[in-house]
Order: sequence, then C-alpha cells, then structure tokens
Amino acid sequence: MNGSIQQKVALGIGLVSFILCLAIGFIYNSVIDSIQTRNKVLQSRQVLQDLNNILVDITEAETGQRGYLLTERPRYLIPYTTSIRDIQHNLDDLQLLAKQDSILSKHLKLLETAIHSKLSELQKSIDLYRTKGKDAAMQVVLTDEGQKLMEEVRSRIGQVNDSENILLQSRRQQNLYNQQVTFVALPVSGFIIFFLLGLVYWVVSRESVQREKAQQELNQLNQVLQKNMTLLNSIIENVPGMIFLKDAKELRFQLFNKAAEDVVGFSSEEVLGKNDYDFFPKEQADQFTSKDQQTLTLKTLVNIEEEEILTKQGHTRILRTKKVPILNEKGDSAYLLGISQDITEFKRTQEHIQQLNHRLEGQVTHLNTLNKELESFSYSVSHDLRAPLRSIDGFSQAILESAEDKLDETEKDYLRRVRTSSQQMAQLIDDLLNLSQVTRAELNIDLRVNLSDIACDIATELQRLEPNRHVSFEIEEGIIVKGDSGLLKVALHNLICNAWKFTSKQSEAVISFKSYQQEDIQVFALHDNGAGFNMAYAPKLFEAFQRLHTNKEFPGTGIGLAIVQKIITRHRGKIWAEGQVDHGATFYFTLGNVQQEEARSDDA
Amino acid sequence: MMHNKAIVLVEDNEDDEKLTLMAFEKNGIANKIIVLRDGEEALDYLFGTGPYADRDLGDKPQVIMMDLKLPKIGGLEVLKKIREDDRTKYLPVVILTSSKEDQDIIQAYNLGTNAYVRKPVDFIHFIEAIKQLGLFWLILNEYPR
Repeated sequence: MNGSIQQKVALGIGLVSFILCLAIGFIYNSVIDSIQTRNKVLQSRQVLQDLNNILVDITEAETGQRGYLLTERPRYLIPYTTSIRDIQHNLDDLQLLAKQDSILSKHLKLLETAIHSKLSELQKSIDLYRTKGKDAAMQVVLTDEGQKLMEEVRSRIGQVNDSENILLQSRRQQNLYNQQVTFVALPVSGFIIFFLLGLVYWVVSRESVQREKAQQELNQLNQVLQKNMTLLNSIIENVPGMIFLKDAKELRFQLFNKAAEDVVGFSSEEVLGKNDYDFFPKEQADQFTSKDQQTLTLKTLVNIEEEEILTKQGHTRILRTKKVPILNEKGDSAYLLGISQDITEFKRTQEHIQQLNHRLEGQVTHLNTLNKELESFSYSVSHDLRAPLRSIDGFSQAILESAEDKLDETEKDYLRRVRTSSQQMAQLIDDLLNLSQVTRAELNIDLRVNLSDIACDIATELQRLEPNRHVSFEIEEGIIVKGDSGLLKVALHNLICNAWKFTSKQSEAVISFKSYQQEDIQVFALHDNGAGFNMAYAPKLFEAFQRLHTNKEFPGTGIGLAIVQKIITRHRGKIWAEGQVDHGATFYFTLGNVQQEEARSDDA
Repeated sequence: MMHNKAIVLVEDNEDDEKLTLMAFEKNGIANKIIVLRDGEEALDYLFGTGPYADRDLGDKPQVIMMDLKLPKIGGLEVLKKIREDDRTKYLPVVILTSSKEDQDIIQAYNLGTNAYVRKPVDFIHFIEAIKQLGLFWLILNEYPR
C-alpha cells in the first residue's frame, strides 16, 4: 500500500475524467464528422439534382426553340425562356455548392462553357429566324452543330455526375465508418469508465471499511480511556486526603478534590481558576506561594511539616503538605501537585497526650515518692514497732523470772497475757509486712515449680514442729506449674498452715492437695476436714483482718488468706473457697500464664 | 568461756542493750561487753580515733554485734568501713536487728557480714538466739589473728 486514499481516489477520478474527455471528444468529433459527411452527401445529392434539372431544362429549351422554329408561334418560346432562367438559377446554385470543392468547380466551368455554347447556338438560331427567316435558321438547325453541343453538355453533366457519384459513395462509406467507430468507441469507453469507477469504488469502500474498523478501535480505545479517566477522577475525588493542582505560571487551581473541599470549606467551583490570594489571608497566601515557587524552581518535592490554613468558616486548620512539580516533556515545571493531610486533630491529640504524659509523669513521681514513703514506713514498722514489743516481752519475762517467788498466780497470769499480746502484735506486724512485700515484690518466674514437693516440705515441717498431732496428708505427686516459687511457697504455706490450724480439734485430720482439669484450666484444691466455715461468709475470707473465729478458738491475724489471694492474683489466677461448718473447707485456685514482662508491667 | 576477749555491741536502744546483756548473762557469757551507741562511735572505737585515740588497736574484739538502724552512721556503712580496712577486715560481724527486709539482708551479706540475726520479740527465743551466737562466735569460730 502506497499513497493515501485521497491520492488514489484523485488518480482514479483523474483517469476517469481523462477517459471521459477522450470519449466525449471522440464522440463530438464523430458527430461533427457525421454531420459534415451528411451535409456533403446532401450537397452531392443537390448537385446531382441540379445537374439533372439543367439537363431537363436544356432539353426543354431546345424543344421550345424547335417548336418556335417549326411553328413560328411565340408561345413556344415561353418554356424556352423559363428553362434558360432555370438553368441559370441551377448553375448559380451549383456554383454556390462548388465553392469548397475544387474538382467540382473545375468540372462546373467546363460544363458551364458547354452549356453556354449550346444556349448561344439555340439563341443564334432563334435570332437568325427573326432576322433572316426560317430557312436561314433551319440551315443552322440542320447542321449537326446543335447535336454536337448537346452531346458536349450531356458528356459534361455525365462527367460531373460520375465524379459526384463517386464522391457520394465515398462520403457514404465515410459516414458508415464513422458510425461504426462510434458504436464501438462508446461502449468501450463506457466500459473503461465503469471499470475505473468500480475500481475507485472498491478502493474507496475497502478504505472506508478499514477506516470504519479503525474508527471502531478508536471508539473502543476512547471508551477505555473514558473509563480510566472516570476511575482516575473518582480515585482523586475519593482519596481521603486533600489533593490540589495548580498551573505553574499563575498558580491558579486546576483541581481541588472533595477532601480538599471538606478541609478548606470552599467548593471546587469557587476555587478552580483562582489562586491563594483570592481565599486566604495575605500572609498565608504568601507562605503557600513561596513554597509553590520553591517546588517549581527546584523541581523537587517540598515537605511542609506543618502549615496553618484559614477555612471558609474562619477556623484554623493545621495541614501537613507535600508539594511536587509535574514536568512537561521539555522538563519544565508545568503543574504543581499538592497533597495535604489535616493534622489538626492529630496535633490536638498529641498535645493532649503530652499534657496527659506530663500529668502522668507527675503522678508517677508522686507515686514513687509515696512508694518510698511506704517503704520507709514499713521499714520503720518492721524495725521500730518491734523494739518496744521486745522490751515489753523481755522485761515481763525478766520480772516473771526474777520475782517468781513474790508474784501470785494472777499477777503471773497478767504478765503472761502481756507477753502473749506483744507476741501477737509482733506476728501481726510481720504478717502486715509480708502482705506489703507480696504486693511490692517483683515476680521471678520459674518455668518449673513443683507444688507437690513444696506441699510435702511444709507438711513435714509442720509435723516436725507438732509431732503430737495426727494428721494424714494426701498430696498428689508431680504438680508442676510456672510461677514465682518463693511466692507460691508462701501461698501454699499459708493455706496448709490454715488447714493444719483448723483441723487441730480433729482426732483424725486429713489434709489433701490435688489438681484437676476443668475446661482446659488446671484447678488446684486444698481440702481439709476441719472446722470449715459458713458459706455466707465466703466472700469475706480473703479480706485482710477478717476472721471467722475467735483468737481463742483458732489464733491468727486474719492476713494469711489475704496474702494468698494477692499471690494468686499476681499470678493472674483465681481463688475461691467452699466449706461447711464442722465439715471442712476446700480452697481452690488457678494460675494464669504469667510472663516475666507481664509481671513487671503489673508491678509498675 | 575460753576466750576472754571483748564483745562489741553497737546498739542505740537502751532497752535492747539491757535485754541483750541479760541474755548474755543468762547464757553465762562473761566476756567484757563494750557497748557503743552509734555508728560514729563504733568507727572511732574500731579505728582508734576521736575519744578512742588512746586505745590499743591490737586489742581486737571477739565479735561485733551491731544493729542496722543506728544514729549518725548506719550499720551497713560501718560494716563497709570495717571490711575496707585491713586492720578490721577479718573481724566477725553479726548483724542483730529487727528488720527482716530482703534488701537489708542481701546488702548486709554483700558487704561481708558473717551472720544476720533477727531479734525475736519473744524474749525466751531471744535468749536462745544469743546462746547459739555465743556458742558459735565465742567458742567454735576461729579467724585469722
């Protein structure tokens, strides 16, 4: 394929026009030829007609002359004169016809001469008749002069006739040929024209099919493009961030998405085509514009960490903005693309967090101070409260010993009560310290703490301290948990000592420590068949200083179970108890999955 | 008792001093008891400074029994000084105190105490404790001269 469709069509139409012109010229030519030939044929026929007329008229004239000579009646001269006039008339006509025909005109001259000779012979005889009489005239007639002249005329006419006939024949042939050529040329040129027109039509239609196909493809491409544009637009519109575009020359807004409208309060219709000075206070507009210029000049991304903007509603928002130049194909800045994030709330939250942090720091400091105070308080309690108790107990004992003889039993009893009380108070102080230590101490997690072993050790120790008691221990073997072994030991110690204490009035005491699974959770149970308790008081069991028995029945400070609960809670476990008065008690507990970190955060 | 060297008791509480002396007596400990009231006095005595400038430093005590909570200079500070000085670093020091705070116990051992005894409130238990201490530190224990 070379040359465009226009060139091809122009070439085709040019060819068609050329051939059409040739055909028209040819047809015109043959029509003209044909007309001329016909005219010439008509002319030839006229010539032949005229010649014939002349022959007839000459014969008429001779007949008139003979009649006149014979009859002497002038009446016979009438056809003679008419014929002479007609001959002249016909000769003139021939003369006219022979103007363009040299052969004819040559033949005609000879004929004219012959005719004139004949006519003058006739006229001469008539003149002789009139002047010299009938005989003189007859003398002339009787000579074969007249006959010869007549033969001459006939011969001349025959000559012209023959020549005209030949001419007529050739003209007819010419005419026929012309007609034949025209008959052939017309359909041939028509066929060529149709062929060329068909060719042009084929080329044009083929081209138009291709063009239509191309147009369809173009339409499809356009649709895809349109779809993509719509998608792109909807992305830009729906992006949850402010997007705007300015032209590089005058920094007028070309694009302003929905998020931008929401932040600034101006609609895109209000903004498009205008610049910052149309909306914002001059100082702000100056600042925006200077950053725009910087972006466009340096052709690099400019990051604006924070900038204030006054909205249509008169509120100040804080934006974090990135400005990017969009370069044209020459590498010059054509547009400025801006992406902003409204960080007002973020800033406010940040400030609020800072305030909170500050306050928290203050509270932590305060808490640390309190903690230190508490520590020094418990240190003092441990150290200083015990000293007077030691004095009370010690000197009471000293009196009991040194004045044993002087004191009666009542006085001794009083002194013993003083000692018991001071020892109880010392125990109370120790328990309180233990409780506070359990609360404060950091958890040291051991992955394997053997509760069975701990329980056995405690049982052995208790039996060693009070060998007179008969208590049977049932301790399940191999109970291993994760936790702070020191604290778990304290917890188990308190629970088992409790059980030991409350079974003291049982002749066949049984204390058991077992574990079982309940819904994927391991539950530990310490059961005794001792004094038990009323379930109504179950919730009070674990509160510090809460006692369900008098000191006389069962001595104690009421802190032991509070310590146990604290330890279990710190292990993210739960503790609860079931009991019935005089039918024993069971303490259940679980242990959570404690991690060293958790334990620390728990301590904080 | 075999060794009649002095026992140094650093104790600010007069009741405790009295009770301790009574406990010594009950256990038949007849050693000379030197009672010092605070940390400063203890250091003066041990290093022959201040009021004890004339003291013969060769006369070393058999054992030092010291409370932690002392006026002026605390028991732990005194212990530290004792262990830092070549003249006193091998002296047996028993911390005799009311505190059962873990950190006190750990610190005392870190600073090189030989024993840590918590004074029981029950006087009979206290006498027992002093008896054990005396048995160990006055009779059984040997240390570099």
